[in-house]
Amino acid sequence: MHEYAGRIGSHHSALASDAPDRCCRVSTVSETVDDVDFSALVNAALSGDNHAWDALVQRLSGVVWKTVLGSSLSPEDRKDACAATFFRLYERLGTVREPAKLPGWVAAVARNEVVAIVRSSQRQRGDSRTVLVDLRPVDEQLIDDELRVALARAFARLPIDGQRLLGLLMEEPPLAYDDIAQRLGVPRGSIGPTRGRLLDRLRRMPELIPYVEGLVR
Amino acid sequence: MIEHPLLPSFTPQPADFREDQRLLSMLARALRDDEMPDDVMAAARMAPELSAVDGELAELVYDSLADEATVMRDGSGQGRSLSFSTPTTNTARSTTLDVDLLPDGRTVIGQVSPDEAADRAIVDTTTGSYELALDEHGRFHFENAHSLIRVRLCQGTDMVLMTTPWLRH
Repeated sequence: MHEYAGRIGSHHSALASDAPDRCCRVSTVSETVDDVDFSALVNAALSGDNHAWDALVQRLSGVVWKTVLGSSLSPEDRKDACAATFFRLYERLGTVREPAKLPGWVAAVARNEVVAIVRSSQRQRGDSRTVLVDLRPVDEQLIDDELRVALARAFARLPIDGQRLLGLLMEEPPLAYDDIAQRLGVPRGSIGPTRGRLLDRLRRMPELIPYVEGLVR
Repeated sequence: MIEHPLLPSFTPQPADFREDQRLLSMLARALRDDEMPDDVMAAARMAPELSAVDGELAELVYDSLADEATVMRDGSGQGRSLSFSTPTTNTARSTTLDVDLLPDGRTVIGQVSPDEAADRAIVDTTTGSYELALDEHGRFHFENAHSLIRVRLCQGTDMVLMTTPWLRH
């Protein structure tokens, strides 16, 4: 901590020295607000203010979690990737030059952690495909917020029984059809066909039609 | 293009829902809790407590991951080997720490040289710190490295010689 504090100087002097730059820069209101918030939090965290660090964790947790959710990691590894991202962030907090860009920066760190975890487990297994590790940008596997909302709203319009069935079909780790049949009190053989009908119904919901339209054009 | 019922000015990117399993997995992602779980939040909050840098930040001088010949080799499981050192000064010889992260994904073996440079190693993990005595050859052995780890080499009661960056197997 002392090294960081000595290098950066006090919270107030660091802010004061940043101020002229911000005044001269042309930026949107929201960018400036974020910039101020993040620089204040970063500097306060560097000078040992744990509440400021907690606030940073809170503000950045959404972007980190969302990035990691887009990966194919197991639930445990996802948690590991998130925690590791924040440890890396803290380790390099003193080198952050543009605090307003922190969300993008931590998303990149989280993606690197995901790749490191996948590579590490492949290497440990002696898997020769290590070099072919899934290098697709994790972004590709993410669904954007608009689509997320559309899917959630469309789902909410399905009958409750249908929501329950799809909910069980989405459990992690996956449930056996026998389990699902028992929980819902329905014949096992009905699950597959009902699943198909519910998903078809979902596709025809007004929230999702624009996405499908875009696809067939 | 049908007008989007929620956001009239919004032009959606096409999304491929044709395959049932794909639609179901996109739906699962859309419905999954958007917030980082509490236990991860708690671990992240611990970072300052577990990350104080004492002594020199060790300089990485070798990493087998950066060595393509090692990475490309096929066959049995591989770990990772790294070497760190403190800079040589007028008054002190540099201290080297070799770290082997074994392919079991949890074992760390450390070797300090010269062996008398340090008498203890503290292994930090994202959930706590462990103090280990070095043996007569300057070695230590740690078996609980499931996630990130960091090593601090110590001499005497409060002198920290070097601290490595956070590492992963």
